[in-house]
Amino acid sequence: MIVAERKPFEEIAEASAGFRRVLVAGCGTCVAVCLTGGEKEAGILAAQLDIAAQLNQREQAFEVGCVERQCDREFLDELAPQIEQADAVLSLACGAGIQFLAEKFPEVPVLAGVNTTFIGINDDVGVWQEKCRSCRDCVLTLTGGICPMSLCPKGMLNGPCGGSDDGKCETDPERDCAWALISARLERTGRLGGLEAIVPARDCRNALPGKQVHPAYERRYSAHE
Amino acid sequence: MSKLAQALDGGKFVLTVELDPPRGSDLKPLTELTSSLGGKADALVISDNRGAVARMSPVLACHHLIKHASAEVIMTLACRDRNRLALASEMLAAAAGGVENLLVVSGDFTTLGDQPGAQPVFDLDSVQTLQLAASLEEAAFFLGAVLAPDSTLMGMQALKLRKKVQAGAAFFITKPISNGEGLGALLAQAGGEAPRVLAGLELGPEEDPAWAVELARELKAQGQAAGVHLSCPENQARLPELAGQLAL
Amino acid sequence: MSAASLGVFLCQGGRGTADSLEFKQLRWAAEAAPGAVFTVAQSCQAEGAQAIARRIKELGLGAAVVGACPLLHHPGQLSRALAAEGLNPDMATVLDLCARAEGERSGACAVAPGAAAALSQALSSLAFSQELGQEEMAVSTRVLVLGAGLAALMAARSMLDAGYEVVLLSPGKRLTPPEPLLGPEAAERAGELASGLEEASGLGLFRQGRLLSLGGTAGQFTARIQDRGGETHALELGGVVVAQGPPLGLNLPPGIEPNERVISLSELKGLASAPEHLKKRLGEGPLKVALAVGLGRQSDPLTLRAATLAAMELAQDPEREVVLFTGNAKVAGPGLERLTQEARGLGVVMVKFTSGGLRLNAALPRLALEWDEEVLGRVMADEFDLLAVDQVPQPDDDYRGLAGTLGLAVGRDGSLQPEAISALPLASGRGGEWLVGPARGQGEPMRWADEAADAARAARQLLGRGAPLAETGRVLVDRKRCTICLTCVRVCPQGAMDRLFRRPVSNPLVCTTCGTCAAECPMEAIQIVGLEDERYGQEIAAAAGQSSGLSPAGERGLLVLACANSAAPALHAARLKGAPLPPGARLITVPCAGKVDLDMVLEGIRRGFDGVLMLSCHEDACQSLGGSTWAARRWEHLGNLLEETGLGRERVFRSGVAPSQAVEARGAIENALAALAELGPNPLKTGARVREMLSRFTLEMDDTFAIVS
Ligand code: SF4
Ligand code: SF4
Repeated sequence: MIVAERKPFEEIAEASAGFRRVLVAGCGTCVAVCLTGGEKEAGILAAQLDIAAQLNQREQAFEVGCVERQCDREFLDELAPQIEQADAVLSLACGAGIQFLAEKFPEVPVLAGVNTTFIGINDDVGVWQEKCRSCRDCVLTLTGGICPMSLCPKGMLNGPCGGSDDGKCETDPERDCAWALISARLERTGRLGGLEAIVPARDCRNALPGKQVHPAYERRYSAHE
Repeated sequence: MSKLAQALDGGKFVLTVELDPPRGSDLKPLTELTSSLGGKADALVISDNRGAVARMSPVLACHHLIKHASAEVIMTLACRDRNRLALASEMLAAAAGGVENLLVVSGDFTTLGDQPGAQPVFDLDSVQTLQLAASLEEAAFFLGAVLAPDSTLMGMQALKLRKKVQAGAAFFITKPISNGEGLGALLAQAGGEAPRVLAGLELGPEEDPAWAVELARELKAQGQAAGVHLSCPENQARLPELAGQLAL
Repeated sequence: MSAASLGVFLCQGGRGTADSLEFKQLRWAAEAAPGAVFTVAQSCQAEGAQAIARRIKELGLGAAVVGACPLLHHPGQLSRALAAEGLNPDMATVLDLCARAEGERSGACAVAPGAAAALSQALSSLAFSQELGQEEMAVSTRVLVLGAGLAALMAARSMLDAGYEVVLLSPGKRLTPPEPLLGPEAAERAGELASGLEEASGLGLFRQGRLLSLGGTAGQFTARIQDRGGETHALELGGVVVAQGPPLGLNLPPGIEPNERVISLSELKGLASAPEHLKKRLGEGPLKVALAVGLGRQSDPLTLRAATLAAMELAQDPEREVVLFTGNAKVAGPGLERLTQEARGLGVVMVKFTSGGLRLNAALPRLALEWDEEVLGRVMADEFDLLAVDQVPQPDDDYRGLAGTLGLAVGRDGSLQPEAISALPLASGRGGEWLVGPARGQGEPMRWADEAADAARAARQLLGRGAPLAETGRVLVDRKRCTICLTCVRVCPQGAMDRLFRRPVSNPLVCTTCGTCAAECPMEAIQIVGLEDERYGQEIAAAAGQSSGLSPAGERGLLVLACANSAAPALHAARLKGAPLPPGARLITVPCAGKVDLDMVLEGIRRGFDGVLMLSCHEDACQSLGGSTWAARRWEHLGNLLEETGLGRERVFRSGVAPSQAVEARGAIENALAALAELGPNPLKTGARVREMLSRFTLEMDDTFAIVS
């Protein structure tokens, strides 16, 4: 899932200071699961902003809203009545949700309340780890299900760099070397041989904005229909 | 064929010395250091933003040394700072200026340097960069790469060695070592024909070089290395004197 | 609760009280709630109580709130009167609204400051209380016993005797692995139990088996067990007894490394009872043996006793010199002192350390040891042939893996006991799993038989005969809000949250309604019936004096959120002892500190309270086995959140108290009030006041941004 962290309070307070009525819009999917932007966090942030506004004698009011997903137009529609009343919307969704909200409601200023951090997994309550960079050229079959693009800071595709030390990464002695993990995993499943061939340079066309149409819907979105 | 390649082919136990381009735009000190090294070293390895700290481009530094000090240089090229376009253009520029030896390295990670927020490029890794260099018809480099003999990931380092050879590496320089054990083990594990390896010997600013001389002798006697690569990153002024002792 | 059947009785106490403004405010507060209001001339003492009880019966009321003085609080005063009328003795809530402290019997009656707010708070909480029905639950009556050796066998026996089908999963081949420290009688007992069990019907046995997974919750666990042949068996289980302890390692004094002359006490026992082996190992002739107990980690009396016995056995032979070093051992065991004397009589040298310790000077060929002789204040040194040390739990990866499968954590002492052990002795961190014997750490084998019996009792309480009654529907998960983040499943201190059809569902058999899940849920999807967020919202509003509307803003002092298991009873006891809540403090009782939601605290601050104090159980004695730990973590976060707003973290306080700590509980409140007096009033007070006025005068604001939520 997508993981995000709340922006520093000061930054949020400053961005919203000029608006009288602010809707704090939570999102009930990824950012809720990572305890950053669900209904509860939206409520807490609104309460904090209210306290800060009072302390600074700003006449502001904060309302809370939360929808299932801000990355789907149908759910965004549910926010319309609240947004109509608002001078600004502070979205706690991931970057995708914030943008879609801004696109759907172009008349109202949209403020970002979170920094979207990565695609990752939920290790235990309150802990997430990055696992994927959405590179559009997945090598996991080859690398024992461990992503060198995300877990190796240098994105090495043909084996570890010379800085790998005692299973740790040259960038941080606390960080596992991705290639140490890959090598151990492949050894366990007897698949080290798969690494012998040189992996060619990766296709970086993922720098272009992505758009994807499901093959079954190609006709629907083709120019002809 | 470069002088370095010839020396290695001729079975000479070679000595290379590592020099950094200046942190400013004055090339005089580097040129002087090169002259005082005289003929003690077979080649000078000119580093590329070593430690992820910005210095003068090694392309220009190499050109200068070739032109004004008739030096035999090995130009280092790190994957950290350039994408494949920039890597290719640097290679072409180097070739045009007479650089014949190229050492491809991954490069220390950006966060370890003086601009920790810089974008780490790593568009290609070292194996792919070697492939790129080998594929350039306009520039026939004598290609070198790095080995990490003392790594705990011996199997993986051996794999990379094989891949680098396959990608076109004709010689190797090891990361600093303090004995020949790791290197021996790595080469044994990698199998195949033993590549030409220059053993990295790094000395502290004041360190007594006796051990390094001893080790170089040993490596030479046992035929474990084709030469040694000397560095003294914190006190490069010492290099001429050290090179004198290490030229066997 | 239907409004018609609720009665509010207000005692007007002594002369003049009824005409006071305070009493009128009290009436207005009562009238604002849906219920009939009665005034009573005098409610105190038995006569007053009887009068009220009679009235309740006459009117056929379903419930009652009585606003009176502490005299009516006296244990059971009103309950007895209600019972005498044939009514439910718990139907009435007595509220202490009197300004007079217990003891001042003669003083004039007067309404306590803030009484009106306290009354409306009680009325709003009452409005939410709800009786739920009980349902029969379908549970499995099969119990899994994990482990081998005396404790496991005792547990299996007790469970069989209690009428449960038992599956015994022994990690090794033998049901009676050697337990040399327990002595010969125990070994004999274990042998008897094992042969008895092997023949018993109703016992399934897996030797060298492995627990692969344990899903579900108490009463309805589903286990996968691998037998020694590698085949997997799926089983439904009602409960699990964990009698398997972590592997033991040498309890070496710091600085002493293991070597071939350092052995375990159990090994020494084996050697001591077989002189041939001893000779083989150390050769003929005189021998010097050192024994060390409790020099690394603390040891227990049983081990000390075993060590003393071993020392005595060795010392029987006059050729041997024996020194017994002892460090920290938990409390002296029965008869230990006499045993020590006997050992001395046999020539065993006893060295006891309070600090300092044993050091190794050189190892091999003989051990040169050095130690501080505390009585003489000297350093001593001697050479030994052998050093035998006691053993302590040292969990390995396998044991940690087992703990993970069981959903338990390995504690600092290497056992599976949760930190909050004093509350519930056999409880683990997952309801329906009970810890017996070695799983509880350096156990006391004298108590293993009792523990096995207690586990069977716990099973009977949980599973009954296979259809236990439980109150269902107390913890509600709103499927529309729930985003299946599994936070509730992960935080529940009882492991009560199961996933049914992918959604979390609380198992009422083990849920303690602590509310930790509700407070942690990021989607506010969990409500506990009767303890809803809305109820607390109203209570806080009432406590802030806003629903009665007439309390001066200056009155909002400290909001005290008190755990019903510890702080609330402690404060009640304090009141009965004549120490009521200090003026300025308002009490809201929560089922467990785990229920204290951060929005609840922020709401209190925004309502104008000068500060908020959370009173929970001590973390190591939490009645809900960890709710207060979650609350404590949250409290840290709360401090940061308040810091960010610029208000600072100084206005929120947290303290742990036991139910018996009446003085401490009250002390914590006084300290918080004193700190608040220094800090001055909450700067949000004026704002809160304005909002309150607005809410009262601007009834209809056609604005979704009505400032008051
Ligand atoms: S914590 Fe809340 S949202 Fe998450 S699974 Fe439980 S009920 Fe659902
Ligand atoms: S109320 Fe407490 S015991 Fe019950 S399910 Fe929630 S966290 Fe678990």
